[in-house]
Parts: sequence; structure tokens; C-alpha cells
Amino acid sequence: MRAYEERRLAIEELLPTTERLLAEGARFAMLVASEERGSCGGFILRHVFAHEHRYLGLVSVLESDRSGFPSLSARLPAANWAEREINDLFGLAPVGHPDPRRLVVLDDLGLGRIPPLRHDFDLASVPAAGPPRPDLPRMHGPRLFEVPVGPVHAGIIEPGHFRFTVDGEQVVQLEAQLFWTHRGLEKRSEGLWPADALRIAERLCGACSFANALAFCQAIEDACRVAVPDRALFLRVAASELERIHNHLGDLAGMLTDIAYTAGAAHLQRLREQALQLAQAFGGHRLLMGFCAIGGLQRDVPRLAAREIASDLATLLQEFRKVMAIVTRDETVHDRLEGTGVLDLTMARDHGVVGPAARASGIVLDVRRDQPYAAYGALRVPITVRSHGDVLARFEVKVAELEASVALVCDAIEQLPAGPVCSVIRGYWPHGPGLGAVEGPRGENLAMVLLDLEGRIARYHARTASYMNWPAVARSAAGNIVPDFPLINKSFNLCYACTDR
Amino acid sequence: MWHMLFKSLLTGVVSDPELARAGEAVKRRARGIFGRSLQVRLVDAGSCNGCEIEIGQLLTPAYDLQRFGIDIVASPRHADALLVTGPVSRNMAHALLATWEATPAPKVVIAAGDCACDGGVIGAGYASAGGVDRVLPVDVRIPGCPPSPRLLLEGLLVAMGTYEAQPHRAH
Repeated sequence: MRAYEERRLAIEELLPTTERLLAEGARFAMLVASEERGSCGGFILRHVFAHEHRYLGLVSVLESDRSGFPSLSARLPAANWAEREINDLFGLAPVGHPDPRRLVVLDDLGLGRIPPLRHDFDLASVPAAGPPRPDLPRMHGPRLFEVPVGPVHAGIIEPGHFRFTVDGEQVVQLEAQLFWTHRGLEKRSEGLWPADALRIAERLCGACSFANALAFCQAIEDACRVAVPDRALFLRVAASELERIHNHLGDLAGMLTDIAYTAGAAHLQRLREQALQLAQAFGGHRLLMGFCAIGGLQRDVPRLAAREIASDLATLLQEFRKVMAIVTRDETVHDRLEGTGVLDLTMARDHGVVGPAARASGIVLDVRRDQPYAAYGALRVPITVRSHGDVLARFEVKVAELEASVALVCDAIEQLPAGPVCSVIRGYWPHGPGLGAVEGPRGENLAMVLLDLEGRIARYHARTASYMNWPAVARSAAGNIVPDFPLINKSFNLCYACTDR
Repeated sequence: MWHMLFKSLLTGVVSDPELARAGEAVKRRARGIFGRSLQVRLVDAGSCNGCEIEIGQLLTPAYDLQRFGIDIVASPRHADALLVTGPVSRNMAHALLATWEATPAPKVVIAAGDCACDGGVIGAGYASAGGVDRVLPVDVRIPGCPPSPRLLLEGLLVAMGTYEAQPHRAH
């Protein structure tokens, strides 16, 4: 059974079919729009759900003279951003959307008469950027003050704009405006050969580089029915987990920094440096760029090198445990982390939250186990779940996942089969659209690709975990004090770049 | 508290001695020009955050940038240099320019990473300018995707030299 299946339906059947799927326990995953070339013209919408251990795409056609499509956001808050993004980039309006503000375009001048992701988009017609005017809802009332922060922030952090409405120290409401680092990467990938578009996929985000690269490769492999050698499947697991390890170390260090426990953070940061150096030894690049390939990997890892890396990781884990034993004994740490930034189960589900944040709020969800890819089906993947949904829960989930990741790297290297690390690709002959799904450090990262008849990219859409989780971060800040916001933000530590693309 | 104190003392120095030598050169230059230090403000103008990860590593004990008299400051008002990453996304163009205008002269602009240097893999498009020099005058370019922390430190050394060449410098 393929990981991704499609079902065609008329656009009018969309809402009732969605209701039926949700009743059967399906989870909304992404919405992809594309413009069709050729005689039929028009647009295709793919509403993708995770359902019964595979992904199901509901495919509906919009004729070329249609200017809108029925919105599902009132029923599915998780679809909110995707529908607004389609409005900005395709000019198709989500009819009945409860909050149809612009999302991707931040100035009043727009991106030209023809939206960017349409085929007859004219780059020359795009006006120079005007001053940014994020369209944010305002609250008014006695004692209420508005605190704007960003996009340029005080530390080493990506750009985003946060508008706090505060009553004294307490956050009454937080609105987040992202897309400051929108670079138009999906458009950029169109017309490229898959191997060239892979370099774009790797650079959607530096922190999730391998995860996005792998999702993209899996999507192409899915579309063209490319088999991947077993050795590559195991090495892909090791690389994915090495990326998770350096990310989680950084996230935990970040949380300790934001409660001013700089000594603890310093230890975790030096361990992160070790993890980055191990990634370099393993895949040739600290962030594992240039390692994943369509059909496998770009280079092999010799057995001796792999064994040394596994051994160094085991030593790193011992050090990590010693540091965490000291850190978790501290009352201040518990006092700051416990009860802060609660994301409750209902809100997490409604927003389609994924990854460690979902697991910390009680949702049992992990692509490695739900839709196993690479060699995960042959390995033991423990899932850690908490129910409180506070910063402490997210902290504990990441600590447990770090342990599990080290074990997974060691297991993958232990069981590494002999053989080639890449299939020979003689050409790209797509059978249809392709979907790749991976569990990145922040959760489920999806990639959908449509190839044209020559095998070049016609459409590439990446829906990363960060994209799904950002709205939940804003919700979980309400009711907390302003000084706790950096900590709450770091407990999710979502990427801006892979949200904005 | 004592457990953490003993742990840190026992862990000792973790940074590379070779890097210490490179950094000493930066420190001497900084003292010569400023008498104190080089204050740097980072602006992420649309990077993938890979450069941010490596710049962030410079502040950790593995590289300990601050011992060389270089620091990342919270505001462009406090900065001698702007460290800019990314190809300048459309939505960040104005914020980048405003940050530069808020930085008092004399100032230096350092483009870090391939995207900032010349657009890199991303290039120019409807939402990307194709490099920092499309928006600001650039004094130093540090290539790499992303540049390693060591290369970033060497780039800061070059930036010091550029700063020295500017007229009207303040002490």
C-alpha cells in the first residue's frame, strides 16, 4: 500500500467528506493548490489528511474562471493559514474564511497583478516592497497596552513580529505575524530538475535541513516509484536522529538561557557543538546539507567511522545525563517551567499541532511510528507523551527523545546492511503526484511534488511542523506574564524560515 | 548550585586552542581601534537560519566570542557592525534598511553566508533581492553555506581592518 493515495471529488462534496473523515479519526495535514497547464486549465486543490496509517488526498478541480473556493477554516482551524496563503499566492479566495487577512504579503503594494504561483506571473510587474504593515487585530479597553516586538530581535534569532496586548505584566492576547523570511522558494523550484530543486529543499530551513531534504527525496521517490537501497534507509535514520539530537540540545539550552540559568545552558551548548561535529563526521556537513540524495544518499559512511561516531554519541549521552541530573534538581527550574505556557489537548488538536509539542499535550503522534519511513519500521521508536502541555512537559519530552535518538543512531549503525547507498536514476518518469512525510525535530514535515512530463518540478509544496504549530504558540502565551514569553517560545522553538519559505 | 559549580570547574576549558590564537589577533586589533571591543548587531534578512545556528555557536563555550572583546548587542544603536544574513527577503528589506539607518556611524556591514554575499542557492526572485548589496553598502563578505564559526571569526577580523580604514572613527 502506498503511503499516499488520492480520491477525486467535486468541490461541493468537500465539506461533507471532510466531516466524515474527521469522524473516522482523520487528521488534517495540508492543503496544496496548483495551477494546471494544458487544455483543461484551472486549478487543483489537494486537501491531505492523515488517515489509517497513510495519507489521503481529496482532489477537487476549480475551473479557470473561478476566483474562490469553499473555506474549511471555521470547522478546521488547522486549515486557516493554508487557505490564506493560497489567497496571497494564487489569488483564489477562501469563501467563508473567518479571518481572511493577508498572510504572506506584508506591505500594502502586493506582489503584482498576477499572483506569484500562477504560470503567467510576471516578475517585472512586481512593485518594490513598501513599508511593512502587518495586518493584525487590535484589542481596546481600559488598562490595556500594546507591546510590539520585532521583526529584528535583540538576540540571535530569526525575524518575526509579535503584538502583545497586556494588562500590566499579564498577556491578554498575542498576535504573531510571520513570513518576514518568505523567499518564494516554491516558485524558485519550479522548472528545476529534481536534483537541483533538492538544494532548495535543503535550504528551506537550516535547523530542519535534512528532514526537509528527506521529505523532498521521498516525495520524488514516491512519484517516480524509485526504490532506495537498504543501507541508505538505515543511514537516513542515523542522519535524521543526529539532526534531532543537535536541535533538541539547542532547544533545551535555549530554555535554560531564558530562565537565566546560563551555567546549565553553557553545558548543553558545548554538547550541541559536539553533536554538530559528529554530524559533520557522519555526513560531511554540520547541518547535513549535501548528504541526502534522490534514491539514497550522496556518499557512504565507512563502517569504522560510523562505529566511532556511535561511540562518541554514547559518551555525549553520559555527559548529557550528568548535566541534566544537576539541572533538574534545581527548584528554580521547576518553578519557572511548571504550569507555564499551557497548550491544552483540545487546542492542540484543533490546530493540528504536531511533534514534541503535540506529544507534550497528550496527543500520541509520531510519523516514525504512524507512517514508518526509511528504516524506522525495523527499529524500536519509543514515544514519550505528557499530558500537562506546559513548558515542563515539552522540556521532558525533548529530554526523553534525546535518549531515544542516541539509541536509534546506535541501533541503525549496529544493523547497517551492506550494499550501495544510492539507486541509479536514469530519468524521472512520474506516475503522479508524490508525497514525502518525515518526523523532523519539530514534528511532521511534509513535501508534495508534481513533476511535468519531462520530469522537472511543476509544483513543490512543503508543509513543515513549524507552519502547523505557530498559531498554537500565540494561543499558549495568553494568560502568562510577558517575561515568560521567551521561555514559552523556546519551549516550542519553531523555525521561522521553514514556515515562511 | 554547588553541583553545577563543581561540574563546570571540572569540565574546564572546551574551546579550541588554535581558535584562541586567531581570536587574540582580533582582540589586539579591537583594542587598538576602539580601546574596548567590537559590538555587533545581527539582522536575519531572510536566511534559512543555518547561519544563525553557526553565529549562535560563537557565543557558546566552544568558541566564546566574548573573550576576544566581540559581543552581540541588543540594539543597532549600540552597534559598530551589522552582521547580516540571508538574501534580503522582500518582507525584510525595509526593516534591514531601518536597522542600518539606526546604527550610528562609523559602521561596518558584514554579509555572512552565501545568500547574503550574492544570493547563494536562493538567488533573486519575487521575494528575494539576491544579496545584501542590493540594499546596503557591504564592507565584508563571509562566504559559506553556512560559514563555520571559525570562518565567521576570521571575517570579523577582516571587518576590523575595514573599520580601521574609515575616516571619522570615534574612540
